Amino acid sequence: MSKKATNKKSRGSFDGRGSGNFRILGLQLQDIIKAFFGGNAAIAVVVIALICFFLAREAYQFFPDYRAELEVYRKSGQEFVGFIDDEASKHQEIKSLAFQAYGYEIYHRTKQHEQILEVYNELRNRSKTAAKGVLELRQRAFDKGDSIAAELDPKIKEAAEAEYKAHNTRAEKVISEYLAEFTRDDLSTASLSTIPKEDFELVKKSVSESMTSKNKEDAEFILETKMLRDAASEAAAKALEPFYAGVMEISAARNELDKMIKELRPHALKTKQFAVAYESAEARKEALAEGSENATSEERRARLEIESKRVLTTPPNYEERNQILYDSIEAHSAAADSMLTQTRSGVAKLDASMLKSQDAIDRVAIIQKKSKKLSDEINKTENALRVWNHKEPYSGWKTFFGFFFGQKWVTNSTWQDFYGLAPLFSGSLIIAVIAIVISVPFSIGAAIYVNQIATQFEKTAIKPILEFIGAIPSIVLGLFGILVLGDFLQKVSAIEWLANLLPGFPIESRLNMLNAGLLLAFMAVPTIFTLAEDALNNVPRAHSEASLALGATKMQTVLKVVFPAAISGILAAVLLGFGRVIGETMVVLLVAGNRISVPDFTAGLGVITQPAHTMTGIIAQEMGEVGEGTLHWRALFMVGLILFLISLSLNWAAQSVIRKFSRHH
Amino acid sequence: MPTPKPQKKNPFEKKKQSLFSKEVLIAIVLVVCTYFILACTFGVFGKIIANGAPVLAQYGTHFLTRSPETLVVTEVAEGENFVLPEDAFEVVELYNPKVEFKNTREGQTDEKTERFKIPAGVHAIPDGWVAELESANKGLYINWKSRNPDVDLVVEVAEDTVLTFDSANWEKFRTPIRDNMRVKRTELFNVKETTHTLVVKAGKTRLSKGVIGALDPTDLIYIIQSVLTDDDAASKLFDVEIPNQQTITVNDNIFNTVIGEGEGKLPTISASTDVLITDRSRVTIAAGHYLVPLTSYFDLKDANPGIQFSVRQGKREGVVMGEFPEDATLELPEALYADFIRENPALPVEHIETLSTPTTTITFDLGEPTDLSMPNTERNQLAIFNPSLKVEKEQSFSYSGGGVKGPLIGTALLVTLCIVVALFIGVSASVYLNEYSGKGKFLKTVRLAMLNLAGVPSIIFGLFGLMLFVIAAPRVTSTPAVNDKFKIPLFPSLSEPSMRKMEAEQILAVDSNTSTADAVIKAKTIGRAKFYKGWTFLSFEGWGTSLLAGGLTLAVMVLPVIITACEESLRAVPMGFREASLALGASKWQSIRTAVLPYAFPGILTASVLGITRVAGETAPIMFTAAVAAKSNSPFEITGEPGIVNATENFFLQSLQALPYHIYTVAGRIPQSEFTEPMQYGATLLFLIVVMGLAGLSVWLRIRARKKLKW
Repeated sequence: MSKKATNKKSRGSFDGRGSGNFRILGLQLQDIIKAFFGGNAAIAVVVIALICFFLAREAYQFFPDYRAELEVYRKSGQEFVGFIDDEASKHQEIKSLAFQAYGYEIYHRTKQHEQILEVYNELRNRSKTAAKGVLELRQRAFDKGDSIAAELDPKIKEAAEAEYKAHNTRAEKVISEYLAEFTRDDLSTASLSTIPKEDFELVKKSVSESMTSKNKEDAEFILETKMLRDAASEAAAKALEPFYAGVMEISAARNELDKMIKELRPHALKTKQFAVAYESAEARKEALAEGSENATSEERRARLEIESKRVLTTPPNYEERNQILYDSIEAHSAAADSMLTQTRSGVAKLDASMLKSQDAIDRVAIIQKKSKKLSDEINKTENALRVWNHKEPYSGWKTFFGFFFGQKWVTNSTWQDFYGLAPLFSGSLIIAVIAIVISVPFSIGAAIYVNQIATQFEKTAIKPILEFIGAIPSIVLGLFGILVLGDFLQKVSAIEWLANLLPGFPIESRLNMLNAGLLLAFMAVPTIFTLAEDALNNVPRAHSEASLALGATKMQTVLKVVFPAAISGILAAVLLGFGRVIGETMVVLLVAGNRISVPDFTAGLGVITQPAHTMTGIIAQEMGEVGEGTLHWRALFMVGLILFLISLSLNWAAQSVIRKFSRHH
Repeated sequence: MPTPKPQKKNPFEKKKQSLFSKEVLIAIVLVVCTYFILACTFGVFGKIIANGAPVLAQYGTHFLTRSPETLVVTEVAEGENFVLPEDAFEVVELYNPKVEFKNTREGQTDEKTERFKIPAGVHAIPDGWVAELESANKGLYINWKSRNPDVDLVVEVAEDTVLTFDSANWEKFRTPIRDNMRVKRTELFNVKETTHTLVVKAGKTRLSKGVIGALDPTDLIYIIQSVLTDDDAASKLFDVEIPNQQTITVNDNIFNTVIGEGEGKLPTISASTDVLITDRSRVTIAAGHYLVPLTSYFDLKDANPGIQFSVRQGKREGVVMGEFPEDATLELPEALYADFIRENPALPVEHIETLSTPTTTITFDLGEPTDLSMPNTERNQLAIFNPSLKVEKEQSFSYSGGGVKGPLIGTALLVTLCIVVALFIGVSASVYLNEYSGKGKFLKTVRLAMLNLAGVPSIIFGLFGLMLFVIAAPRVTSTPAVNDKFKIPLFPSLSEPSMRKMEAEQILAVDSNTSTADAVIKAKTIGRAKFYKGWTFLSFEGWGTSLLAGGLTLAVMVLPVIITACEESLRAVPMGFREASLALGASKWQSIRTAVLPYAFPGILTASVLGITRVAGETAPIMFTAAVAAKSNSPFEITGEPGIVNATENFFLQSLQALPYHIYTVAGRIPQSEFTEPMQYGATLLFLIVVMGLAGLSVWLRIRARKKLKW
């Protein structure tokens, strides 16, 4: 690499320091040694420069390529259909929320019975696995007793029955032993562990009864529960009839628009195929011609030549193909209007006062909010459609903004790939903020305690332990998040009073931003702690001595003299901790849930319990599967570049905070 | 509430009290913060140890001596006399501690191996047998001079078979094998074939999808104006342009498809019909083995595409001329040997002896249908030793069986390479920074670069390694890849790549006076990855996902840590040492070598351990640069051409399993179940022990060095 001389000063040959007249290229041995060491020192610079170069080079080509692709997207009329699609997806949100609300309400009304049945099914399946062998043997004995041979010979029947009985007794024993050890916490779904203890015992009894009864009938208790459940759900359906009518009306509102999309989508897709084929046609033709020149056999040469001549190289007629889109604008406004009116009348029928489930009520509230925005959405689409023109070139700025603020990150799509940073960036940022908000008070509290208050023994014991945390590999913490923390959080969040108290509880998915944030908070502790402790350590003793001499208490000295004096070092520690957290890969890849969409901020603070994807995670997940030089590859490098710039600027900020601080002293 | 005191001695009493309680509160908060972190730490460690220790205790050395395999859970029906070799049985017992193996008893079987000699020389061997011989004889590498179409191949005809030939072909086929062929019946018949000559009109027209499909294999040049998609019906019409008037000859089938009434048919000016009559023979061949020349074999296959012949061969071009430079003594298992002799009657094989290795087997009974979980290897043995095994159901879990030997070795190799490189660069750099460099722009730049390098996210290092080492690093090679970044010709190459290598690596050999650009184009057009033109190049084609790429990526990443730590240890050496040495007349380098570096050594050692701790746990940088999820052989078993240069190259350019990546695979990439959990916790605990052990070592070394080295 750049081992080139850093110092080309040639010295006289008799300076008494070298090894006589040994020279290469006019350099003395000592100079060469120095240059060699200097070259190694320069590697750090070279590496940074190369990282910048690679990231920048790949990312630099991203925008023009992306723009060209979006230009095709516009020319082929896909953009036009995309507008209508977006509008439809807004309605889809309302529709699925409505169905969810209905489902939650029904479940809520039959919950006490449903849960018992769910537990019953789980226990039954588990006992079946536990006593698998015996049950299998029992089944065979039964079959033997049921066979024609047994019909003819009573001896066989008797023997089979005895065998059956023996296996049955054993099965009963195995199952009852298994069930005796099984507690409510062992159930696979956390929310089920809240069922009443008496019910749980009854379920256990029913399981062992039904498994060992001859005709495997369900026990009395279960049959009763099933009846109750059926009755309850029937009653619920009846009571909710007007509500359901509203749901159905909302659902039906989009039929016309859907029909329109179904017609236009394939048309636009086909135009795109023309466009894509046209773009590569010349190259394909040439490649085939070249191939035929270099072909090994005459037969193959002729074949390639024919194929080369068959390639179409004229551009598609966009004007003609897009006319159908321009013509559909009126039809669209009619469809959209009818969708709006029907949705409105449907939403009006969703009466929250007849609901009992909090989940359902929440959803109805969201529906009402969203349906109000629907008309804006339709107007927006309408305007966009009217001004849309396939000939208008796609502007560079729009591409640029489309990347940085785009809400979609869609890859390997048959329709169109979109590279929007917003979902990834917001995921990374929220997780990092959670981690820092949790980590900072604890680490700084610990730093103050260890540095100022703790006994010597505590100091020597605690510091290495906290430094040890830094050595825990991130993949280990990720695994901990998947196997332990996820379930733990879900269980805790299902506790009634906590669920009512905190937003976002109970948690819906095991892998989410909170889970990842907690783990990253733990990971950030050693960084922040060590640097903050150093900063506190660097405060001159004279400060605290002066304060104590003036009669301040120990605490006053710590909080009002030492801490403010170290504040900039602590700030730098927090910044560096933030940098470490936002660049962390494995934990977020495993634990954040990897759902690529902008988190739903309408949930307020509860947003932190949603799954998300991150910038680091997307690189780690997708980089291995993309071809070199493709647009997707470049998009990932672009994400890498942004990540790199973020970490550089955090680093720079931390350094300048420290510099400012040291100038004061 | 106590009654208020009558006299207020100190007006600040109350304030002081509230201040005191406030301070106590703050102190408590601080204590809680500290100990909460400690509690979390112990919680994490505790949970992993609590779940991992039983796994390690259960599997013990098995976990360390086996590489990851697929875990198979087999539902075996109850029965008696299941047989397994002793070691396999031990593994099965280990995996199924709860299962009761009844009535276990020892027995013996003999595993017979045949030893034989192949004399030196060039022999024709079917492709498939080359692989078979090499897998049974470690270290054997059969090079080949050429694939030879003139040799005979033994074709096994399992039962009496009816074959159909053109009569001319039949004679051609029959002549060379007349001696050993038993023909049961020959039947002659005629086939009429009609061909049509069509003159196609130029101009735009509409053709249906079916017509276009039928025209595809003909010579007709037509340009489709719209794009075909799969979901279109066969009758769908497409705009097609026929650029000029053409004459084509087609068979009956195509003719009937493209010509006719209605829309979508081919517009023609005229059509004429010819009839061709071909003689055919229908031959019934008796079951048996026949020696058939390779070329005739292909005729046979082409004429009878539906019939399967048993010939052991890897590729279509079946027989190679294997080169044995000296007499080779080889071994094959008994069963395979019989096949080998039968299928290679022309090979001058000399049987030497039959070796028999007694193996202890365990026979056991199962009282009831049981789920047995075991690694894939044991499952295969179960199938071999119990041909009548009744399996009800089977589930498999990727990478969840066996142990972590491969990943452990892989991590050790990566870390070793990384530390060797990073220490070399790091020590040199710190010597420069601490001993040579004065304050100046260069020093400032280096320090700034290091500071920033330390803050770069690990995934960015992964991208850097991918671009620099995997894709663009230079290699000195006589067979450069066609899609490299650029190449510099160096000198004529010393030896030609063997035929076998050419085929395995898709190398195109061109004339030495072909220009490089032409060679690249030629290789590209026929789909070869590399070319050879008798010249050695410095080709910037990257090292692929490899040990070297991963190790260097990690080294670059850990550089700031190492440099900082080394510098610290150099700075700790008192100035007086250097001054004394220089005063005695030593040169700068001499004094560094003798008076500085030896005393900094303990510090450098600490730095290296610290560096190992950092890199051993990293996953992101090796994800695209070195790690693979599955690898069948150990990193030290190097396959491929013999020779020290090849072996070294293959060693450093192989991809590896690595422990953190393995944990990622079992935790994040395969579905979770109760059967995958032991591997997850076991591997994680082991990994944690290794990394934490190193971390502990580095802390201990640092404390010791600080205590000991005080001047």
